[in-house]
Amino acid sequence: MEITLTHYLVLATLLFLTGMLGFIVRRNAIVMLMCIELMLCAANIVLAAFSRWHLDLGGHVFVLMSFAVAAAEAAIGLAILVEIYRRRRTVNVDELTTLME
Amino acid sequence: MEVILFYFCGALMVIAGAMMVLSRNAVVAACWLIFAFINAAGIYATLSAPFLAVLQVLVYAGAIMVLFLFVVMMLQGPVLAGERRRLRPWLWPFLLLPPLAILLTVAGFLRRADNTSFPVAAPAGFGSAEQVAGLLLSRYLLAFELISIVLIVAIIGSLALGKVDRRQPWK
Amino acid sequence: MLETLQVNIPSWSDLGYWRPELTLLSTFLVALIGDLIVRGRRPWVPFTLALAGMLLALGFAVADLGEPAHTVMGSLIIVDGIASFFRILFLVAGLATVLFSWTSEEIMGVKREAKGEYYALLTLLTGGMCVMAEARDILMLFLSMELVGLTSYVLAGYMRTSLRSTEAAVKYVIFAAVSSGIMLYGLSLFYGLTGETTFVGIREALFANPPHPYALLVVVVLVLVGMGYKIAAVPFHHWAPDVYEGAPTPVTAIFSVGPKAAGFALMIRFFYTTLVAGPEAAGTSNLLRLVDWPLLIALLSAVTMTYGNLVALRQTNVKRMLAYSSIAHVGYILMGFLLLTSDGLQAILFYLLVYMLMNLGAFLFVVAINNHLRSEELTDYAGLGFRAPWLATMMFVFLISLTGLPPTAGFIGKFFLFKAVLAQEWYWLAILAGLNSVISLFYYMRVTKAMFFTEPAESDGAAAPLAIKPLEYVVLAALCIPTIGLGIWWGPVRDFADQAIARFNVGI
Repeated sequence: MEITLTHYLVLATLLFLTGMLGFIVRRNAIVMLMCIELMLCAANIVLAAFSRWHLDLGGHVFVLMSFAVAAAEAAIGLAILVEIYRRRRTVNVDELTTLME
Repeated sequence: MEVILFYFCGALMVIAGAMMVLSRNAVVAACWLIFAFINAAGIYATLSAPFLAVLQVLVYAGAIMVLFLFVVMMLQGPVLAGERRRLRPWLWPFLLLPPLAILLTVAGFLRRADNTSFPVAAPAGFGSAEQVAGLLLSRYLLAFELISIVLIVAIIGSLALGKVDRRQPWK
Repeated sequence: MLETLQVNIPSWSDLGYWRPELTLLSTFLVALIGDLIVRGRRPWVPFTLALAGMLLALGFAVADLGEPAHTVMGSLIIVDGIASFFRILFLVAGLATVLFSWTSEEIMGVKREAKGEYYALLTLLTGGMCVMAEARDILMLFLSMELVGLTSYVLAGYMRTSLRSTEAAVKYVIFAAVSSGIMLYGLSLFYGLTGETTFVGIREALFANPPHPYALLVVVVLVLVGMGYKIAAVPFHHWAPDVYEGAPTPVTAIFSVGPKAAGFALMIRFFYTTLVAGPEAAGTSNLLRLVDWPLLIALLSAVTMTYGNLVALRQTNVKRMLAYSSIAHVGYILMGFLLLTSDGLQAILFYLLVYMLMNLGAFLFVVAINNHLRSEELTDYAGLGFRAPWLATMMFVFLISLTGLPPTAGFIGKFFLFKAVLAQEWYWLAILAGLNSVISLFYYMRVTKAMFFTEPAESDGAAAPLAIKPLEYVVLAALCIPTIGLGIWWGPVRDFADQAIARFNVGI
């Protein structure tokens, strides 16, 4: 039994799918952001796996940057959600309809 | 050893991800996601990426998810209430993507199926903090500088957006 | 331990080629600190600093126009013809937006909002867009897109007193985050296919060892999701109308040209470098056939322009109508990407420049009117031709140009695009684009009709002339004169685009 690249790719695809499905199904904006974090994590695993496969550390640097970007995105996203909650008392995207036609 | 670690962490990660999507309560969902991220550290460990494994726990599970938990608990009430689950028509195009991604993994890379196994052993110190730092400060120095600006924007932005107006107290 | 660490820190000497960006980045910090020093009580301090920074950066960008292509501090960034071209475009758009924000009641009329952060972030947005046009490494591509994205979310949600603005920010952040997640997945697979992070390295690896067609197709599609979101192409456009309507109008003005043009700049550099070896070598690449690229782009373009125009037809809010019209224009511009030739590239560059002038003009007109009427509804535009004749005439020119009628720049821009499509014998796409231009005539002319041929409502003061500020006249005229001028004498700008293409570097 040997763990190959394919194993990692299948794992990452499964995680990406879970995140994507969650993003589509859930309506709570905070949980939607969490699902996006899971998708980013899947992409990171792909990067790390290929980094090991190519024996090139560029992928590791990429993962590092994506950590930082995920943190920045979460901070701004949550700040905006707190703001909308303060005014509407909801973070359910179905109820944010001021801009709908 | 690596085989056991991969299957153990991988299976737990997929389960935790699914539980996150399924759990109605946002706090529980966040806890499941933290669990998934800790397992991701195990996956990084099998990929001879010790530095990433440490950072995964410190940054993702430690900092980002604590932020999430903090916000969920701060907003309490309606955030935890049940929600309707249905597909919005404008999200349909996104449904196409996951099957495409599967197609890629199965069809695309298996073309080189003869060599999907990893090259023998990673050279000594591969993926250590030292080597990653060396690359970060030489070839990717500009990206390293740019990420600092991205983080400044995150700080300034969340301050500018989250500033509480004293005359308009928390309702 | 330390002595074993081999770090070759790249030389600082070529930072000189990055003067405009460095100026913008330091202006960002200086404006923030300046605002802190005056404790946010003197909005002219951050405004003046931002304006001075942008002017200085524009000066540097113009001075560096003739320089040969050069990488800056390592291999992540290149300043070449394309980058210099887009730098000027972004700086002009940024400058017009900064000036107009000063007159805008939406931004300046609200006492409590932090003006310092607003101007600082506007400067940084411009700087981030410049970096997007220069990125030649997938890592830098991702980072610069995120930098522009994060700045945009904050600017969209800037008016915290307005519920619409905050809602726009929520939609923006959620959509942007998911599409950047998808794009990161695509980029990680690109890295996997080739083991390289630079565009050039990716191309060499792809040419040397062509991947399975499915693999390449899916990777290209995943990356196109991220870029398609940035340029608001259908079906990744859903955020655009809501964000454009909800965000403060000056911010909408720069959103509709800046990040969109930056997305196109990224697409140009990424696809012209990875799939073909530059615009001259388009015919020789097998990769385009492998992924059926022309069909992919033709479909994307056809769907985008048709959808944008049809939905724009039934809008009653001018801002929202312009949002849909800008989606339609993305469709026209995408036609230039059909075969990744230099004709197509020339048409794209020319059209982007023209589009920047006319679309910015149209949105800034909405800002000027909103200052007085506090409304963007078409019904409230009745009689504006009599109440603000000069402004309305300029808007008329922008609308004519957006439709693509002579003698305006929009006509010449569309002419180049059609020529590029016809040269590649994609007749159905050209016919569809022609039909779309006819459709667009209807809704653009509805605005004209409301302004010139409808009497204003007979309520108190509704027919009085509007007191337009001189600055508004100056900025709009500065956008309007080239819009007409380029329709008559387009040679210099075409040459400018040609020079940019000639110095487009896909090699180093």
